[in-house]
Amino acid sequence: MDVADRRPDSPWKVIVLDDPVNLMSYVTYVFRKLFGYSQQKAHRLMMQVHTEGRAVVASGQREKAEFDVYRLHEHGLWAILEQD
Amino acid sequence: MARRFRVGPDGIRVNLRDEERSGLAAVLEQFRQLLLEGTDASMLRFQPPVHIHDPRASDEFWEMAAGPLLRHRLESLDVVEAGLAGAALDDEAVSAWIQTLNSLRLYLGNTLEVGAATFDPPRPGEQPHEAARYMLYEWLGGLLDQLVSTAAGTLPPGTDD
Repeated sequence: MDVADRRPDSPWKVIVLDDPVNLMSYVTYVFRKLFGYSQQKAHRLMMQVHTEGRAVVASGQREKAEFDVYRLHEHGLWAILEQD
Repeated sequence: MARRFRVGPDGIRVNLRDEERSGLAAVLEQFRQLLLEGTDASMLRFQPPVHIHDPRASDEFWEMAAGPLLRHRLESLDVVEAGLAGAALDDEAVSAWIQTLNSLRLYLGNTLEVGAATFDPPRPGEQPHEAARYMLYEWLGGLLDQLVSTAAGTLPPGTDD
């Protein structure tokens, strides 16, 4: 989708990309800590990142999504933003 | 590796050996200089594109975020240094330790290119400098895994939503 085609009010997805360095236990911990996910959900998302290369870990309005991306980068995870 | 972190009544206790403490202090200082200089190519991993299809939006994000993130990383380094003596870590200090250990490991992992398909751990007899860095990378991984395991036990159960 071209950037200009996106509706400004469409939600933004917070996506974590796979990284060969970060420990699996660490990624799971970060998802639990930042988003309040259960161990089971955090582990499932971590495995999705690991096996599929990416996972949507949160979504919302742009300002909130950018804050989530910032916090993930504080923890050394490679997070990106995509608009629906 | 013996347990280096234990949950106590006043927080998580750090129990490093003397040589581990002094070694980690030296690495922290080197990393501080790297952060302040900001010229090492491997540091680019700490500021990657966040809008894959919109470089201008990525640049705008990092114009806003780079300064606060650098300050946060430097403050976290200070917290880790202060905790090396063995004080109990509160939640904020645990977070600083976890993020800093991971940053050190990320930097080393990227400089050693451990993610490359052709990566082969360097051998001390052939590449002593790289082998020493790889040993440090592995040691930091063990330390981080221990701390994550200890800290995870203090998190609330969380939700599946």
